[in-house]
Amino acid sequence: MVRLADNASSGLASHLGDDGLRGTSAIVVGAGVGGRCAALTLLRQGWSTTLVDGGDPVAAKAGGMLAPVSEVDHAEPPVVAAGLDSVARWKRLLGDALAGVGSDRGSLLTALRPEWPLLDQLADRVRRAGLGDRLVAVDPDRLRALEPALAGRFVRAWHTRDEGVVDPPAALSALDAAYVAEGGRVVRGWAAEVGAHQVALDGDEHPHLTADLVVDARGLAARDTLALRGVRGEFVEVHTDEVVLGRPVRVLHPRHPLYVVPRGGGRFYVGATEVEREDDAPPTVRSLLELLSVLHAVHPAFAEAEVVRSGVGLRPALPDNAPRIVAQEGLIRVNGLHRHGWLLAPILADAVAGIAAGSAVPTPVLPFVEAA
Amino acid sequence: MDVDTWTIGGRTLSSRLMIGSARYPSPARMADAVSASGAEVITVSLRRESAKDRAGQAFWDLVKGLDCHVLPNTAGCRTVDEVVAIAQMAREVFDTDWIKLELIGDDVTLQPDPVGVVRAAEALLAEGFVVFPYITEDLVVARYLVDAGCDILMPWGAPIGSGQGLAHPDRIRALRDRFPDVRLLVDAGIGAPSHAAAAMELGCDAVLLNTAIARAADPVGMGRAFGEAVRAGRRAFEAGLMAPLPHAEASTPTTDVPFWHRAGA
Repeated sequence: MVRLADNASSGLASHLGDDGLRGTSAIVVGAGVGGRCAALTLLRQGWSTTLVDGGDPVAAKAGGMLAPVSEVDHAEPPVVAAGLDSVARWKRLLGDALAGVGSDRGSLLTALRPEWPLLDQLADRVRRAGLGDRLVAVDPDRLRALEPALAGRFVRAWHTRDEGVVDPPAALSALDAAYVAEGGRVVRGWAAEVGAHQVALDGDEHPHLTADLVVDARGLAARDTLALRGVRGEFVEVHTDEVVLGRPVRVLHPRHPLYVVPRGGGRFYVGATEVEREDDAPPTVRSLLELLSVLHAVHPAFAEAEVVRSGVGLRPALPDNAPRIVAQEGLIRVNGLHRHGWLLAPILADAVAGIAAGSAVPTPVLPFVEAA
Repeated sequence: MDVDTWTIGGRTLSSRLMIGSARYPSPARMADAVSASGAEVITVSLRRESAKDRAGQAFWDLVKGLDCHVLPNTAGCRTVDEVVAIAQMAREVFDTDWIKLELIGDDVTLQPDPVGVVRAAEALLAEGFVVFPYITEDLVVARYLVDAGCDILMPWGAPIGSGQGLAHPDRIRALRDRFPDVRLLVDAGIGAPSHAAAAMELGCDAVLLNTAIARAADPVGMGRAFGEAVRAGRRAFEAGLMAPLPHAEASTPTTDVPFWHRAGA
């Protein structure tokens, strides 16, 4: 396979023919956040689109953070760069519906006193990435204005600009509603084989599906073609009316990037661990202790919150933990979104549509694009 | 460049830097950092739950693919029995007799358990493992381990993950002086290449670290920096460092000033 140089989007188009993969029909395999964004984007660009939905997407278990600045500490520069305008792309994709399923009030990054050096280290990383202007220092007075519930609890914090969050189950429903309302088709089932122009589904009742273009947006199931591994993430959800937060709060933690995300209606999501283990057994006591400790550190009133549910997801990751788009005639693969599915799905969808139409691919996506 | 080799645990190495496999931005970046550092030994933690059904296999395969000697460790173990069980699993998974014995005795400082580590070392040695015991700089614990048959000692520089450097260089020096034939490796607490160089200048045989490279803004650049620092520190030790003096000593003799006329003399 050939990795495209930065200026090679025109080269990609010529590889695929001057008209790209232009046709009229498309099948998108995989109804996670990547597949649903790709399907909706293709539909809006005039493709007659069918989405193959295997159900139970791992994206529903994610934190839903659209937090490229906060991720500087954990993600490679190309992932951060591709996620910088994530909030704006979500606004374009979901329009008014976004307000009902997400918010864009930034994130609050803080630390307990012994971990203050980590706040300075994070700021150093963010400035090195050229994003210093997106990080605003929060003193106790500013904290009182931003998050009254946390006033007096933290002395130092950063507030990130241009970051947001979505509630994944609600956002998946909003994507689904828009897609169906605008004429998209859905087929329930698992793909046994995904190839150029055709998809074979599990079971006898479905014949092969065929189309001008197939988009492989599967998660771990795409390991039949790619060196994907599952990275375990554990989360817990609680309910309390005692604490009100306006935005996700991250308490810098030496091992895991953990957030407390307000989900509305007194619900809070705390996640997620990151363990190099491909095992979807329920969360361990050790992980729950870590997650709940972060919650308690944010506010002691969480001690009385009800634990509503906990869960585990396996993030589909390639060795560089970055997504990959591989394009050939009749087939575009977009896989390996790892912990950045919600952050990157809209720009990856725009890239898929761009390749399909033989038009431009957003520049930040080019590091992820390969021609087969 | 001349390459001097050394041996440890029955294997010949040319690098004296060993690094961890946790907390890199990605396995691909870990591979790049290992390669830039020149390290030939990589340590991997193997937890019981990952060994069950080989749930950690995908990541272990990436580590095995690095072309390094794997040094499995027992991080997270609480008892001697757990240590032995994990060591046995590690032997099977990574096909090596090497084991880094890590048994924590205090949750706040993550200080190693001096009693448990001796018992666990005895049990592991009896099963034929090459034991890399992680300890504080305590001379007496080191003595018990050497008496038990360990020919490798891994004192901490400072608490795990703290990046403070060598908190007690005099104690590391004492270990070096008292156990000249043991392989002495500083593990934990190394935050900067200068810390690694300092350990090597004291005559340590190698250093092991993880966080300082894995969590650097540029792990590959930091891996290279540590590789150079460890080489420089070793060369300095071999070349013979000058002894520090409490006063100035001009390189050029000042023949017109008799030494008994100097200020303060």
